[in-house]
Amino acid sequence: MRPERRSFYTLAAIGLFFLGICLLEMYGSHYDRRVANLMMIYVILTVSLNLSNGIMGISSLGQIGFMSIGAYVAAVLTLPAGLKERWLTGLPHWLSTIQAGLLPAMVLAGVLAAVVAFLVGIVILRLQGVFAAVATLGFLIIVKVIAENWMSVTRGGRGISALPAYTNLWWTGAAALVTICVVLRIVKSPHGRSMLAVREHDLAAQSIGINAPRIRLLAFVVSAFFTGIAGSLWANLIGVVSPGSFYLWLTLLIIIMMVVGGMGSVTGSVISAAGFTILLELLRGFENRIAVYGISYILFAAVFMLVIIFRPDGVMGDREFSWTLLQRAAAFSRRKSP
Amino acid sequence: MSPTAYFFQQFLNALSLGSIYALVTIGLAMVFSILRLINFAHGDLMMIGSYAILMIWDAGAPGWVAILAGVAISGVAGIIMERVCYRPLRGSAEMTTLLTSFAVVVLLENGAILLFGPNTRPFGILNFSHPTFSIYSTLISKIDVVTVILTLTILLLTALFIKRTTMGIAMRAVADDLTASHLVGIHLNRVIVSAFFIGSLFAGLAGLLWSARAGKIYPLMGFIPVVKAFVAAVIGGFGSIPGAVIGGYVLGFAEVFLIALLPPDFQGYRDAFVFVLLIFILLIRPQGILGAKAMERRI
Amino acid sequence: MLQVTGLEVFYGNIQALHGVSFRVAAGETVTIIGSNGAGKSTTLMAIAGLLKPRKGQIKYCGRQVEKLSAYQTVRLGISLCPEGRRIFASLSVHENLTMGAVQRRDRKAVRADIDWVLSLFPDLKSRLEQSGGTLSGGQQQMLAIGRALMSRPKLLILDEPSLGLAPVLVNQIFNVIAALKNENTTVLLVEQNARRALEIADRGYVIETGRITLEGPSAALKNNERVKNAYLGG
Repeated sequence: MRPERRSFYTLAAIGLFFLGICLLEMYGSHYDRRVANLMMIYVILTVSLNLSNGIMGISSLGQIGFMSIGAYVAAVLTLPAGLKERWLTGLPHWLSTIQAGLLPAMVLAGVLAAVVAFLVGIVILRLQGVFAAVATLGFLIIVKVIAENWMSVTRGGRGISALPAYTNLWWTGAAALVTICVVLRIVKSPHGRSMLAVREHDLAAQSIGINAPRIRLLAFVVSAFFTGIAGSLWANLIGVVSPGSFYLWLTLLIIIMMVVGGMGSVTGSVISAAGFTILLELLRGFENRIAVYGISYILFAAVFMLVIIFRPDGVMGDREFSWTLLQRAAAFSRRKSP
Repeated sequence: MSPTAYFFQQFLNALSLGSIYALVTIGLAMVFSILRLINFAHGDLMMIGSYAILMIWDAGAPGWVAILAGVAISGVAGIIMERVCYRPLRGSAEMTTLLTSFAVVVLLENGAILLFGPNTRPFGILNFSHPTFSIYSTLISKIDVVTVILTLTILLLTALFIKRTTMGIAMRAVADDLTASHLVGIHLNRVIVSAFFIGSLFAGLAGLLWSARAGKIYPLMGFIPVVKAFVAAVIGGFGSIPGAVIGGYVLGFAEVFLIALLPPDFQGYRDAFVFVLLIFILLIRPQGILGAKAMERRI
Repeated sequence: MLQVTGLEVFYGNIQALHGVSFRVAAGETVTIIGSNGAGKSTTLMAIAGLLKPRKGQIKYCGRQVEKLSAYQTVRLGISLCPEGRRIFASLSVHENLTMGAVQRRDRKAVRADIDWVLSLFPDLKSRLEQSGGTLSGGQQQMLAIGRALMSRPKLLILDEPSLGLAPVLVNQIFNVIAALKNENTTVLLVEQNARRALEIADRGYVIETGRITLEGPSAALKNNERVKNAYLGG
C-alpha cells in the first residue's frame, strides 16, 4: 500500500473518531458519555503502562501511584477557592485563592507525576525483576499513606470532593489520541528498538552501546506523565479523589487490560481497555440489579489467570495494527469465502 | 510508668510483633527459595485462617478446636492455591507468577468481601478476660507472651525440620539446584506442596496472633502484613529461612521503636517509613543484611 | 538392559537429536564419544527423564521410560551424574549423600552405603560436615559420583566425569569406574577424554551432530582411522 494512502486512511480514522465524540457529546446520555470518558482514561492508563511494563519490560506495580499524584494535583488546582480555604489549610495563600482550569491542571498533573517518576526511577530502576516489583509496590503504598495522612493538603481519608466536572470527551479523546500517537512514535523510533533490545537482554544491549538505565528511565517517565494526565481527567470526571481509589484494584485492572491485550502491543492495549471498560460497566449494572458487589473483581481476576495460563501473549502478542495488515486480512477472508 | 518499665513493655511488644512477621516471612521465603515465586496471596491465608477460626468458634466449638481447625484450613487453602493457581504456571517467568499472585489477592479478598461483608468484625478469641498482668509495675499483655513463646517453639521445631528431616534437606537441595534435585530423584511436587502447606500453617497461626492482637478482622487484613513480610525477607536476604526470622524481628523492633520515637502527628506515616527502608535496603545491600547468595539467579 | 531407538529431541524448534539409537546390556560398560554440542548430554538427559523426546523409544529393563519424570527413572534404578557436577553447594557432604538416597526407606542400608561411598572416595571422609560448595573441583566430582551411587542404581550414567580435573584426579576417577565395573555395575559413560573412555569401556558409540555415526567394540574403535584422527589426536 502506498504511504500517502496509509496516511489518508489514518486521518480519516481520526476524523471518524472525533465525529463519534461529537455525536456522543451532542446526543449521548450522561451515562453513555461517562462510560466513553472512562474508556478513554483506561486507554491512556493501559497504553502508558504498556510502554513501561510491556515494551520496556520494567516490572512496575507502582503505576497507579502516578495516577494518584496526577489526580491529587488536579484536585488541589481545580477545587473552588472557597472550599480550598476551608478544607486544605496547608496550601500556600496564592494557591488557595485561585481555581485553575482543566488544561493547566492536566499539564501540571502530568509534569509532577513525571518529575516524581524521574526521582523514583533513578532509585528503583536499578533493581531487577521481582525486586523492582516489590519496590514499586512499596512506592504505591507510600503514596497512599501520604494521601491518607497529609490532612492539610489531601484532606486525608475523607478525600477531596466537589471537584468541577471539567472532563468531557473532547479532552479525554484528545488525550488518549495523543498518548497513543506518542507511544507509537517512541516504539517506532530508534529509542523503541533500544527498549526492545534492553528488554530482551540488558547486558547485550549495553555492550552494543545502548544506555540501558537512561532508556528505562525515559520509558518510565513518559509513562508516568500520561498516567498523571489520566489521573487529572479522572479527578474532574468523577468529582472525588480519595486515597483508596488509587490502589490495588486499579493496579490489577490496568495490568489485566495490558496482559490480555498483549504486552508490547499498543493496539492490543487499546482494544483490551475498551473491551474491559464495557464489560466492567455491564457487570456493574448486573451487580446493582442483584445488589451483590465484587463479582466483577473476582471474574476479572479469574479471567486474567486463565489468559495468563492459556494465552500468555494476550490477544495481540506484540503485533501492531496497520492498514497493510487489515488489507491482507480482508484479502484472506475473501479468498476463503468464494 | 518508669522509663525502664516503658522500655521493657515496648521491648516485649516489638518481640511479639517481630514474631508474627517472622512466622509470615518463613512461608514466603520457603516458597520463594524453591519456586522463585513471590506469593502476594500469602497474606490472605492469614485472613482465611482468622475467618475460619472465628466461624468455627461462633458455631460453638471450644477455642482450641477452633484454632486447630482454622490453622489446618489455612494450610489446606495453601495447598489448593498452589494446585489451582501456581502449578499450571510452573516454569513461567517470575513476573508472570508474581502478577498471578496479585490477581489471587484480588480474587480472595473480594471473595471474602462477598462471603463475609466488607466490615470489620470483632475477634474475641485468645482475648483473655484479663488481657494484661503486671510485673514490677510493667504492664504485660498475655497475648504478647503467648505469641512470643509459641513462635519461639515453632521456630525451634522448624529449625530441626529443616536441618534434620529428609524433607527439610530436600527443600534446601531444591533451593540450591533444581536440576540436580530432579536427578537425585526428589519428587519436586511433594517438596513444593510441603513448603506451601507448612508456610500456610504458619500464616494461619500468624493470622490468629495478628487478629488477637488487633482484636478485629476484615477481608483486606492480609495485604499489609504480607508486604511487610517482604520487607522482612529482603532485610534477611530473600529466600533464606534464618534470614526470614531475623528480618522479621528486625522489622518488628524497627516499627515499634519508630512509633515510640515519632511525634504523634507523624505516626500515620509509619508504613511509609517501612517501605522507604525497604527501597533503601534493596539499593544498598540487595542480597539482604545477612544473605550472600540469595540474589543469584536460578539456572 | 537399555535400548534407545530413533530418539529425536528438540529445544524449541531446534532439533538436537536426529534419531539416536544404541543399547547397553546388563553388566556392560558403554561409552559415547563425540565433540561439544554433538548431543551427548541431551541423550543422557532424555534417558534420565529431564527432557521429553518428541520421537523415539527408550526401553529400560523391558519398560518404556521415555515419558517418565526424573524421580520415576531414579526409582527404576537409573542414576545420572550430571556434567558440571551440580552438587548441592549449601548442603554438607553428608547431606548431599543423603539426598542421593532420597527415595530409599532402608535407613540402615543407606548408612552402610555412605560408608561404602566413603571407602571409594576416602578424601570425603574428613569433610562430611563441610558444605559442598567449599570442596575442590576434584572432591566435588567425587561427591557427585558418590551421590549418584547412593540410589543404588542398576544403570549408572556418568556425564563428563573427568572434565576440568588434574591428571592425578582423572586417574582416581577412572579407577573408581573400573572398580564399579568389576562389581558388575552397568555404566554408560560420556567422555571428552576418548582415549581413557575407550580403554575402560567394552563397547563404544560415536555421536556427531545428533546422529550415531560409528559403533563397535572399544578395541575396534580405538584403531579406527576416523576415530583416531577426530578424537584420539591422530
